[in-house]
Amino acid sequence: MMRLPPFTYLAPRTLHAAATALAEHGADAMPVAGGTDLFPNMKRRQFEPKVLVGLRGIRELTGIRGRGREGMTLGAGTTLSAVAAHPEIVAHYGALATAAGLVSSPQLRNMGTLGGNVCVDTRCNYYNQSHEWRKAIGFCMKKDGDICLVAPGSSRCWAVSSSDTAPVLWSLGARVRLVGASGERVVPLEALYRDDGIQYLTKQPGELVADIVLPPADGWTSAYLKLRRRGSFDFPVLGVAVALRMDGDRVGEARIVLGAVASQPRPAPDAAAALAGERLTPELITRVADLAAGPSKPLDNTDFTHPYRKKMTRVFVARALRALAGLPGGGRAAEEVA
Amino acid sequence: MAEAVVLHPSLRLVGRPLPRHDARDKVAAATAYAADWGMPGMLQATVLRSPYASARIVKLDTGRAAAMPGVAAVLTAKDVPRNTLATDVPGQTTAVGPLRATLHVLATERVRHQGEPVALVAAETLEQARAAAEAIEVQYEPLPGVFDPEAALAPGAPRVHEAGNLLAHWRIARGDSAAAFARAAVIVEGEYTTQFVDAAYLEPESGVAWIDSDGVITIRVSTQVIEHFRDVAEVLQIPQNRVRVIGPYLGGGFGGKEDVTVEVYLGLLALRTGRPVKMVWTRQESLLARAKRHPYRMRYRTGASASGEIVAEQIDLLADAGAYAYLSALVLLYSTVTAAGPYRVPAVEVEARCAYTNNPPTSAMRGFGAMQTVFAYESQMDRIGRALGLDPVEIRRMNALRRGDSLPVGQVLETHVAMPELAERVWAALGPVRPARAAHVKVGRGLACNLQPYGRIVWLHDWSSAWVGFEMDGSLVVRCGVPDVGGGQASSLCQIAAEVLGVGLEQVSVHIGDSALTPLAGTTTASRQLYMSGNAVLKAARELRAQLLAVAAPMLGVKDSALDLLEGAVVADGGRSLPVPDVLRRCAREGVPRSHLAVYHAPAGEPVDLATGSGKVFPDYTFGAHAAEVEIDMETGAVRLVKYVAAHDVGRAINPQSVEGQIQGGAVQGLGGGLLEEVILEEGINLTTSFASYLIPTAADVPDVEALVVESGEGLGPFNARGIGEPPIGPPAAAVANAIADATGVRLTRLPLTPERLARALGLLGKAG
Ligand SMILES: Cc1cc2nc3c(=O)[nH]c(=O)nc-3n(C[C@H](O)[C@H](O)[C@H](O)COP(=O)(O)OP(=O)(O)OC[C@H]3O[C@@H](n4cnc5c(N)ncnc54)[C@H](O)[C@@H]3O)c2cc1C
Ligand code: SF4
Repeated sequence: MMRLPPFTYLAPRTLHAAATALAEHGADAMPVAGGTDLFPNMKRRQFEPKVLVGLRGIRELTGIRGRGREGMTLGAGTTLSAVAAHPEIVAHYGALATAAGLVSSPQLRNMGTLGGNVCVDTRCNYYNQSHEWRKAIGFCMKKDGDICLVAPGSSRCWAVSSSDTAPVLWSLGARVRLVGASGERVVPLEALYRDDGIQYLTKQPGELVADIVLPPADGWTSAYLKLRRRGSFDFPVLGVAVALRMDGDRVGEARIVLGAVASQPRPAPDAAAALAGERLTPELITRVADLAAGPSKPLDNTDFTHPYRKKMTRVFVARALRALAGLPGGGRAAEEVA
Repeated sequence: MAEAVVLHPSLRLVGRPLPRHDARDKVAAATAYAADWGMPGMLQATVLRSPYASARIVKLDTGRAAAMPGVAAVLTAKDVPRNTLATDVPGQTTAVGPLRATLHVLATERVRHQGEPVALVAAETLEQARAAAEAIEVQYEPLPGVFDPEAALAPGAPRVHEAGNLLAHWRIARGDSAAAFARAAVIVEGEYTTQFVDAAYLEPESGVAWIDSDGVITIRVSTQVIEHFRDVAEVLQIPQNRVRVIGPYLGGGFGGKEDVTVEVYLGLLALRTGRPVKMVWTRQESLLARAKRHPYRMRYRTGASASGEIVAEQIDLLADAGAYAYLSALVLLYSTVTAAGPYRVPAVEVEARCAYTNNPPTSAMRGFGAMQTVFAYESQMDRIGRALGLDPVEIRRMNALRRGDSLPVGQVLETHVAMPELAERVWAALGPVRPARAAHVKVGRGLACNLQPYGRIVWLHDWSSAWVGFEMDGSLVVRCGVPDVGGGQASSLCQIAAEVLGVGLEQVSVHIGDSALTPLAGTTTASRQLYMSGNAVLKAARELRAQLLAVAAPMLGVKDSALDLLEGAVVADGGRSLPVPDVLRRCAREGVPRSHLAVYHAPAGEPVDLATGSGKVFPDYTFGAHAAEVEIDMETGAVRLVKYVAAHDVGRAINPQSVEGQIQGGAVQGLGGGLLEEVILEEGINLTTSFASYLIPTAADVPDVEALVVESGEGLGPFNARGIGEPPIGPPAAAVANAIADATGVRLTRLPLTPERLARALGLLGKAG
């Protein structure tokens, strides 16, 4: 059994107290919500915080408010099970319910939170290993080392953004409310990320994700397809999030965001632009799928090789569009287990 | 699902699907597994392992570690009285000769695979032990390694062992295959590859050792072989009667606990410290360095007549033995003997070799070399059938072995061979073909049959012993040294004893797996335990029954042949009866034993010359057939299992529930190996050391396996049972590969059958892919 390193656990009751504790302990401290990502990582010594600021006792962080018509606010501490089952989310932000319901396994969804999922660590075959293993092989720059084992000679880390909900939230135009000891701010979700395997979040270490804010859903439909090996447990090796607003029988507006192909969710703006004002014909869908696969530049540091993941990007984008257009061949609406 | 073959119309318990006593205990968390044990003053131990796949140990200094707080002992190879364990493997070809297959307890001057044990530490706490292990100073000088058996056998390859990299070589040459090929109407050639697979049992390797008050080193360990007390004694250089191994119920073995694991280390540390010591390997350790299933490269050339009879087969097998011999030579022997499958092939040539590499060692795993070959020979059968326009059942029906036929090694099949009927049954059980649910989906079906030996190689002179006795109150005790790996071994023995001695199952207590206190029963491996120990218990129970009835006969004034034992009483014709305790008291007075110790000897033989096909290698075989229906996503290569049916002739199902469990579990494990599981190694470095990357199937990945328990009434076990532990793991990969070919026309020849490989074969990834 791998064991956790020693740490002090703080259990604040308010967001403010949590932010203050984080500020006070600086680089030694980390927040923890469900712990389904952080605790296993700590067992592997990928993080060794001396102080953990537990978020589970903070009332303000839980709860789902609002309605699809006027927009919704989801507390960061809401569990993924609650997000997946919420009728208003299922009805108006279908892709989010799908994505939350496809994270890992039922047990982990009961513990794991939406805030934790948005902040989930990036992944890499050479990094998601025990401490002994990494030590034996030689540490890489993401933790304890100074080289990249996937792309030797690279000055950056290419670990992969592996959140299921992040690409969906991005495609839905979500914003996040960040709370720090010295105040709060609301930013578009995409501003939370940067393309770096180590510093994949732009927020200050002391800042907490308090809420995820969804814009009114009026007229939007959405779909999420996930590529993974097994019917449960596995992180996405590819996630495709598509959101569409139809204008009669033509696409009014569209967003396509890919997960697990880079160190952050990766939008496909050219593909989305090609949809605007058009009818969703099979020919258009094929063209858009090809365009969407462009920004998909996976590295061979997760499951499957990059040519396959790139090819699957095309297939999944087409399927998501077909599903939203009500055309046949949408695949299984929820999921692609491959 | 048991067939209605009524062999013993009067059986009360045997043949009934009775709930096992250990199942409830496990669900209620009452079972004390090896790692659940604790003792006052117990130390915690850990192993320091090599980070390199191939290196020289230049310096090994334990001084600093030994001085750390809480540390009770730090041991290296020089502290091990005998650092080498050996198994004798007779036979083989002249190129190799009789083999003494060896392994080291701890690395000496060289490490040969990543994770090889280098040093042991015992300390008051696990944290202290681990800290001390990290503080051991080892300097390695990396050496060139070899990571592929083909490369290992090439001239000039780095030598894993001084004597060279060819570990074992078996050969069969039967009939004139050149002439037969010349007559063949079709010849199908194929190369098939299988991967490293892990046993992935729930319970990692673990145990506790202590020196008991009688001075005997006692080791309570998760093992399939309590007879390893002898190996521990050899390593410790103490008499064999000073070591006792207790084998509690296991959380799975699958062959991975057939070789020694923690017991030798625990023995060394207990002897050195004089204190109880516990060692539990982490999942990462277990996945990293424990013996795996052998990857094979199998080249098949099969010739058939225009009507579909196989006339000749040429087979070349090459297996990766990893860094140490373990049981590789014997695994390879199983492959050699079963290479042509359950078919009549008049002319067969088999060349089988395995080579040392700097990969993790490979050894026993459920199927033991007789399962990799199924993937090859069943893919070949399918291709020949397709080439000749014969359906999968027909081509197998034409070529199936029958009783009286002989295998390529010359062994004549003496019991029923249920071959064509098993294939017919599973194929029919798939039911009507369902239409594809979408345009991009294709549906296909595949069939695969196999044969798997049960019981150990006849020249190993296998035996098992068991003791059955009544207590004065009429309750029954069975003592038998079987390890129960989770297959219901103990409970089936109870069923047999209770059947013969006319008591209820709840009146039987069973004591298993203790090398000091239970009669030795041999290993729970080779699908042998029910066959061997079931026979031993049956023999003991029958003798005991005779003893009792002989005493009861004069009491009732009838001949003992007119008596029966039923519900705790001796019953005579006409309804007169005596409670068993009354008879037991009479036994006591007359000096008649109320127990019996029986030894069952399997049919024995001498090593055969495989090449000339001179005879018997295994006691007998279990036959099976599996059928799969799959859905293929033609855009992604995803394979979804829709329906799965598995049939085996088990001779007689002692407990159909346990038999179904074996068939379902084996099929699922085989599907895991067929579709998902793979130990990924890069230059000997294992990338799959957790269950996030070593992918075993979840409940969402496999359909219900429909188990057809077929009872021919013929087998060498008790009540004519055959072994069923290993057989069901053989066919799944081939059944799925054949179903994929049926759906898509594309044949995959490399395991696991991943969606990416299928996508590539379907041309979805273009040329560049
Ligand atoms: C076997 C396994 C499979 C998994 N499969 C998937 C999968 O398929 N898809 C997927 O997306 N994830 C997967 N995960 C990861 C994880 O379970 C989920 O991402 C989960 O949503 C994380 O939420 P949590 O509350 O447990 O996060 P935690 O583990 O508590 O935290 C994760 C990270 O977020 C930070 N954090 C948490 N909450 C906040 C907050 N409010 N503000 C600021 N920072 C915060 C923590 O400091 C930490 O760095 C898997 C994990 C495991 C162990
Ligand atoms: S991409 Fe390179 S630096 Fe980043 S985790 Fe993987 S090996 Fe380490």
